[in-house]
Amino acid sequence: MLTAELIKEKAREYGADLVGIGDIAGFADEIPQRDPKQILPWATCVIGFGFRVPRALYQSMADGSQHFNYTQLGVKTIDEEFAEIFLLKMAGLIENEGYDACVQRNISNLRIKGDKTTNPEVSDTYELVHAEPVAPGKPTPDVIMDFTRAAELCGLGSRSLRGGVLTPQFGPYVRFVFIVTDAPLACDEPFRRHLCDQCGACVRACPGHALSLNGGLDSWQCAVYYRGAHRSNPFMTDATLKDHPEREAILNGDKRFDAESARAIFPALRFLPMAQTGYAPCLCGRRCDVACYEHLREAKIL
Amino acid sequence: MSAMMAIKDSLAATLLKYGADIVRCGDVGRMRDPAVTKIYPGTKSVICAAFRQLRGARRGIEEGSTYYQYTTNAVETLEETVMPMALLKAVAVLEDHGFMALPQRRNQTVMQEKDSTNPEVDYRQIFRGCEQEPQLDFEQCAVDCGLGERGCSGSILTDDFGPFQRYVFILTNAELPADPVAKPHLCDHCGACAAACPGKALDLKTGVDKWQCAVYYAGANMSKNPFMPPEAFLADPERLQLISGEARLTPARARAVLDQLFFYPGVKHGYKTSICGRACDIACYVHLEELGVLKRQFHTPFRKREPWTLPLI
Repeated sequence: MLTAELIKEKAREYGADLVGIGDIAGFADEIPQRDPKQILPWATCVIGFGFRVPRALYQSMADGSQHFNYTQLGVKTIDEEFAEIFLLKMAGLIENEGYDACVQRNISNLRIKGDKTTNPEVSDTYELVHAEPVAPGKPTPDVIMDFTRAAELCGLGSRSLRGGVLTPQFGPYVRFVFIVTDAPLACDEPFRRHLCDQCGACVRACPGHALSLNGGLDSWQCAVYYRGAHRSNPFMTDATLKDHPEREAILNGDKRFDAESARAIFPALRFLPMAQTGYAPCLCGRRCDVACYEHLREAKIL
Repeated sequence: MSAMMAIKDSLAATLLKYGADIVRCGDVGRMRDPAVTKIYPGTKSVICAAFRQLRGARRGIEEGSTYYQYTTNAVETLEETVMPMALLKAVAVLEDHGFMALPQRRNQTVMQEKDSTNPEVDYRQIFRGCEQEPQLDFEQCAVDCGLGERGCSGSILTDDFGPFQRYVFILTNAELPADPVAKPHLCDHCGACAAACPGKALDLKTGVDKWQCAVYYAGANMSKNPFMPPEAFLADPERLQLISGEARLTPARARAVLDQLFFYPGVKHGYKTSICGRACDIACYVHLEELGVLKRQFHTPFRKREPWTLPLI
């Protein structure tokens, strides 16, 4: 018999560090393009799974000793391999009991129609601008769940200033996948606490000034500095952007980028290879997350 | 238990541990694909390991709400990650017993045919005419190993998952006890697979036209592609036939059409996103489910309403 306890036991056995089950009713106020019921109309719950990203991958970037392994192992391997294998096992377990299991992995390179943001972690993102609903009452595809909101409803953590998830166990060092299912599972309470105390450490840490306490994350600004447009990038040379009229402003993190100007400068920011599957190498060291983690640790919130 | 049966059980246990759902074995004498012994002349047995494609991975396409998850989870991850890993682990079991064991996965971008294609990948990435690099006839080998039967669409049908699985093989010089060949009983030639194809790429007598399939797999039929803008193919003199799936496409014409189908990006590893969602297989599954012949039953039928259709603009 499929129970919440069995799901949680198996999730940990298969490699998840965190698991929680959110009642589908909690998603009632989601816009249709984020609504898991549009994926499985008779869904009863959403199961969330968190995978820790090793602390040392962030530490090695903070120390300046190594950067590429964060992208390769902390981003690409978790999203493209580890979590996918995990989802197949977990969903297979649920389907074996005759329930639907709609796996939802991080769709890193797509944006729903109307979402003009980007994902700094990939070579580029594509907004599904031409999409139209397939029938009256249907949402515009693709439906892409808000993973942060889903993690909150599954009781796993709370939203950070930059829009990610902060968890009591790993702070921001965690990635998520979900399964939308009609299995009748006992649900967990949504996460009620706010782990982010608005300390501003993440804002101060960003070399590209991509975060603000009031405005959250400017994803295009983030994408430029994630790729290393800043002076503290260890791969930066005198030749980088040599003839760019705004070189100083860029390297100081003072220039503001939008989608067009960010895409224009991306080709000049090739310091390490794109990972084979289109992931951009992280050369900011995710300093926002490192600063956040240190603050949460010092504040004994973790 | 014989020593070879013990080895077979150990091999099957390893494959199941690493994600396989069905393991079958055929002796070389009944393998009709000449590539088996061309690739490895010492072959005595062929092991087939099948991995289910999650039914839930197709739910988004059935609802018209989510497309990404099918290709990434049910195609890319199985082909590129799960099945290769299981193969390596299983081959090690045979090697540890002193046998040769040659793993065989679908090499999606290598083919012996000179002008065919593979709908699942970008046609420009395929190396054709590679006679020096023989590939197994996967469907024939699956039948001869006893995995299941070949349906009208060409897909292998099993009692457990209907057409929803993918599979890999191991060629070995170990003489393992063979499983019986499956007696065909699932495909009743209903024609639902052919009727469901948005590009009429499937003929019950002649099989699948791969180029036709590739074009409509990628979404050339406007009535089944929510991402196609109204201005698509406006300058094409055969526009209506093309976007309604009525056009018959030569390989050259198919290439030209594919070059214009950019409305939805591919997933990683160079896989094209399936916009048709393998409508042939879905129709087959729905039919088998309605007949009640699948072993694995769900509490809710896969299809709960008539398939949606968009207007041609």
